Amino acid sequence: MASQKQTQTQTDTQAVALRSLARRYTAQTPRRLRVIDAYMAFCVAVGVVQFVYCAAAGSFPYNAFLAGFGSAVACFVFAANLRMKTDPQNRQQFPGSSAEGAFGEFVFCHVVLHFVVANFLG
Amino acid sequence: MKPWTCLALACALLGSTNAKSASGDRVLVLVPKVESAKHYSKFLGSLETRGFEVSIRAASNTSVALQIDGERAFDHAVLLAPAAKKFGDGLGPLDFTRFVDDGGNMVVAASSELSDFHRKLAAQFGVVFEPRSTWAIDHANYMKQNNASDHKVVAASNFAPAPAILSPGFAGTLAKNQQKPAVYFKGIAHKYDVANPQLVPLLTGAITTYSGKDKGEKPIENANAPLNGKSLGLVSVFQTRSNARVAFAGSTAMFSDALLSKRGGDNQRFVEDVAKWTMQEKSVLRETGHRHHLSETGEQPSHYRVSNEIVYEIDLSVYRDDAWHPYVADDVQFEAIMLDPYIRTTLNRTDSTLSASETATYHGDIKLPDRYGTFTFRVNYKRTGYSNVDVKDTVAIWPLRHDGYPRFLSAAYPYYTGSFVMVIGFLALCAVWLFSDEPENTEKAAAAASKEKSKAKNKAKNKSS
Amino acid sequence: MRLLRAVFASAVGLCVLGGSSLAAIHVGPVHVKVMERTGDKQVSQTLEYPQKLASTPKLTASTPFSLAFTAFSDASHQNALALDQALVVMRHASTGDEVTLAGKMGAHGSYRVDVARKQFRAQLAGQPGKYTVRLVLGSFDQGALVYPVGEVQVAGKQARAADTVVYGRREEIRHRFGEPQKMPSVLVSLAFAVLAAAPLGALVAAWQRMGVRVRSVDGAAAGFLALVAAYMALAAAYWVGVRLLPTLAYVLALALPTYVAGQRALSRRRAAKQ
Repeated sequence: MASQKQTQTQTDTQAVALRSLARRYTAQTPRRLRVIDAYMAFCVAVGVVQFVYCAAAGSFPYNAFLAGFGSAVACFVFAANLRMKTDPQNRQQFPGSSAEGAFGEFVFCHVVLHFVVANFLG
Repeated sequence: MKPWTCLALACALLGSTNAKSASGDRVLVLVPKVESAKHYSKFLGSLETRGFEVSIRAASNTSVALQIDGERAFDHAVLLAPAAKKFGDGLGPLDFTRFVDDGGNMVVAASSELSDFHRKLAAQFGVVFEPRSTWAIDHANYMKQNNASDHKVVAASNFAPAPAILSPGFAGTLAKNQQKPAVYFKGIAHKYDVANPQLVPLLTGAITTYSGKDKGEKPIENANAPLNGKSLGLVSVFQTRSNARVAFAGSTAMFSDALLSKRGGDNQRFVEDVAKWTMQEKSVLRETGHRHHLSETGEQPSHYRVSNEIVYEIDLSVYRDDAWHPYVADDVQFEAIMLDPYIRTTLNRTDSTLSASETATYHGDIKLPDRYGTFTFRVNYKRTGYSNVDVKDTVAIWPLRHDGYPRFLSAAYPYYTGSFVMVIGFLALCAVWLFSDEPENTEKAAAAASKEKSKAKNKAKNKSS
Repeated sequence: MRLLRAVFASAVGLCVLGGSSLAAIHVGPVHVKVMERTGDKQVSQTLEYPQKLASTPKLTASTPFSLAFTAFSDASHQNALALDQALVVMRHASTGDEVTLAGKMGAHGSYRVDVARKQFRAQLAGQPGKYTVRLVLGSFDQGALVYPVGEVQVAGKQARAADTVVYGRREEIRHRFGEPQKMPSVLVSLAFAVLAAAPLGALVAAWQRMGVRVRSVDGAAAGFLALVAAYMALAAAYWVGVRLLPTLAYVLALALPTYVAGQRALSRRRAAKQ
């Protein structure tokens, strides 16, 4: 009984900690970054679905798998870059660049990426 | 009038008729002496009635030449002088093999008194004659005479199953009560090369036939058994790769008038079959055309792609009875070879071409292998007694084009969707980035902004300003 | 006895050809021996023409085979006959190939055929199987006699067939094509396709929860986005049609407008921010 209670309180504290973390995240992270975070989570989800499918159903059109999965991974990486460069906290680290410049690079990389993906998709 | 002038006259009379041979009508007949040609008048006469231009020369006639100015002077040579050590002006065995290499055909008749010239010549074709003064002897199957019987005149009836060479009476199965044909053979036996399919032992010995000395002569002292039975060759024929034909008969007598007209014997028919085959009057096969193309378009591309479906066609005709006829068979095979044969398939005859034309067309629907490389399309048709047909085409088979592979597979749907979803997500992010308000301007964001952030912003503003 | 023999002789008459009844070869008892290695006799039989071997003896390199007989010129076996042809012909039952062994003349007109080890190896061992054995006798004066003695089984190892070309139809060869790749059922693929698309909905929902709203649509930004979307459409078109050169042409054509639109849109944004 006591141990149950203990675990109960433990999970409670864990939940409280998570909730406070979430609150702090929403409170302290600019929305622009949260938008990117959501986008990155979306990339991971699309990548995971394709990976699971490949593992389950076989890797036959392997080029298509590489293209689809690679597209998700590359989008994630580009988004991470964009996030790093636009996070006001990192401004000192990228003194020469602006958020707009980073976005321009982001768009350019995507255009190249999606052509590569289209070529590989088969 | 001397017999050869008779022949010459007959020749002149018949000169207008065309020879039945597919290769030519000039025949050189070499006999020990010109007078001895009269022993073979029936045989030589039959050649002339068939339209050949027969030139009879003595073996020692020095004006005899097989070649004139590097060209063959004759199309066929008949050697009826087995004892001659050389012909003409020092013509040796090599001159005669060269004659055959050039496409000349040759009938070589031997006898018990056989010169080294003939042995050397025969050895070139895998025919090894027995020693001098031996005979093919059969104590059971010999020519029955009224008074004296000679066991050296073998009544041979072991014919090779070669319907392309021998007429149906010999090669086919006998009808009931039909007497087994027999060829009277008086002469020397030979060993033949069993391993060479170019050499056909047309007439071989019975189990009782053996090679030995004549009665009263001292038999050969030899621990080995004499040549006998199936391995004892009496008449063998050879066809070179270039389709020249050579016949070796161990007996000059079998061509002679005496044996040709003997009742109970089939020498007339047999000798005619051998002569007709050797002089290219029958079973001459040729390819008159071949082609291949894609089944779909009917075009022949410069190269095929793997797994293409193609059609291969070849036209074959056979020469007999003075004309080309469609060649009918069910064993014409096509091969696609790249080092090893990848495909070997039997071609079917296209019936429609049979009626009017002199060729038969064979076709096959072939799916090329899923291997790329340089392939050889080959019809290598070699059948006993028929001229060889070997048709080769070098064909390149290329791999599929980069866009020739199967596409839009159901198995890849999730990957296609994934890629498109990423594109849409990217565009959505762009839209959000470009069109939504600056978070700093909204109240919510403004409230959430920390000191550090405003500090950083100030710093940035200062810097930019 | 003689009558019986005559009946037998006519029964095998196909084999006995030529020669009248007056001039014929008469063969005395034929002694057939097959010795074991130990010296014991595996088979030892004396045959009276036209009697045949009762069993099928097995011949190996170590079991010599011998056959001895005497030929006579008269039926009463009084006058031994010197033969011009005294052979034993062994014919392979299936291939029809013949092996001939010569008889050696011994004392008193007797003949003997021995298959010793050396001869066996050279002529028989390479082609094992059943052989029919025939005595083939011939004489210029007396004609011929073929006496089928019986059958023997030759043991040995089949010699490897020489690499000779044999004319005629050859075995067909079919190419084995690579098997088609295994693919999951279309339903599974479709389900995963939907699953892969699902995160897009989640993303939009998450953004909406964050309060992302399209508020200001300025022309330069819209133009830039449209051009980027055009690039994406071009990539999709390339995937469908796989035509590299036209695609490249469009890519180049779109490059400058996109660059200019991007520059204008972003610089305007930056200016607005400040």
